[in-house]
Amino acid sequence: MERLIEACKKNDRKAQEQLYRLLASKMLHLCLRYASSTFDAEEMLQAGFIKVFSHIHQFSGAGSFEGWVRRIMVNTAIEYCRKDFKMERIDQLSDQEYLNSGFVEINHLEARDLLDMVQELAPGYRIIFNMYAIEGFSHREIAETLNISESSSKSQLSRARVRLQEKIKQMEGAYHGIRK
Amino acid sequence: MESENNKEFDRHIKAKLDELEPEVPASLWNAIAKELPAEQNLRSISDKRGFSYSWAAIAACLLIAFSFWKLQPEEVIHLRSTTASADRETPGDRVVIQVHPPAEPVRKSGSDAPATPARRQVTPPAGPGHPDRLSDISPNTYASVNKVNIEPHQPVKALELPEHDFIDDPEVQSVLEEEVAFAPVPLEEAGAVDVPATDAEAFAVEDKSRPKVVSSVLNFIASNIQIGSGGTRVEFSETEHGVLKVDIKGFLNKNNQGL
Repeated sequence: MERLIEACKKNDRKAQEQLYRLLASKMLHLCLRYASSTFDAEEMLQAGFIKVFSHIHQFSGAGSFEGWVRRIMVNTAIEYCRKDFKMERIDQLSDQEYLNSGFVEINHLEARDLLDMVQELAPGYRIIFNMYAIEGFSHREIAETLNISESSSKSQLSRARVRLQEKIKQMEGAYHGIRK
Repeated sequence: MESENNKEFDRHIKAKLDELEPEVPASLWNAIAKELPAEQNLRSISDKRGFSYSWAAIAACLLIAFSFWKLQPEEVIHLRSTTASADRETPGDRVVIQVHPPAEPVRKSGSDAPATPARRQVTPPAGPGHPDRLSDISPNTYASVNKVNIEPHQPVKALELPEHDFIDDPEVQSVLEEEVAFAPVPLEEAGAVDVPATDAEAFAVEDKSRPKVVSSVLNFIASNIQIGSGGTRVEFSETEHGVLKVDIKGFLNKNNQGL
């Protein structure tokens, strides 16, 4: 990997392609979760890799290279969604509402179906759910990145969960109905 | 504090989404490669760097060559005997110093010389007829510098001594044992008498033919590094006085093509 990175810093096209082949699938996976469609995800991926190769000389070698690329992809996805991004107007949730999300079993759901459900979420819900639940950002980091308050980030996340659970319940119910 | 249900839900979603293995379209790399800076641009930058390095190398070579040329001894003073030929030696010539016996043994004034000769005052030779200053050092023998043509691969006979060993000659021996006293001579007279016109030539300062190292080094560099383009050629040459000439050939011809 280090040799590839060094070669990429010298603008070696073959090395760039090798690095792209190594990481493209994982990064497309990330982009698909942030995008509302596969087409958008591929555009995010393209823009993200151009950024990676253009700024690869800034990678100091401290930490994981994949983590560095992932962060660039997340930022690119957020920038891409920013045009559509707007906070859903929701009232502040009470602590009780925030804590008492129901538990939903995900037993018969396909990964592709779940991805479609995530992509159908409103951009604000989708970004915050991805950043918190999948990428592991804290609410403070999300608030700083999106320039919103922490409480807003929390309430958007909670609403995103509720929306997803409703969709999953529908899908699971439909599955059980078919079986019956 | 977030509920355990929420954490469990998030873990389930993440685990489910991780099962997804999306296929990356093959055409996507071509689209990315088109957007990346071309390799040629960076190569041209490196070429420019190499170009500047080559100029730096040329400058360094020139500096070394100049300093080498500057540190060379510029002039060599030859003490030239008047018997030596005034002409410059041709490359095939070599100069051999030959020791000749005197044509006549030097006799002291007065034939009845005592066994132990009195101090004799040696007067400086006057006039161009008796010019050799080496004779002052040894009255019986003198060295003369003759120009001898020798073939390049012929062994050189350095000293050709005569068959007659004149050193054993008692007359010569007695003279050799004499103490020679030099009478003080006023500087004016000495200047007038001691340095004849022919001796002035003996101290003539001659420029040593300067080895044309600088021009040959520069020509070597110019022939190995293409300066300019096409038929342009640069030649360096040196004059006898060390002046460097630069000859650019083919430059005007190329410029005149468009006229």
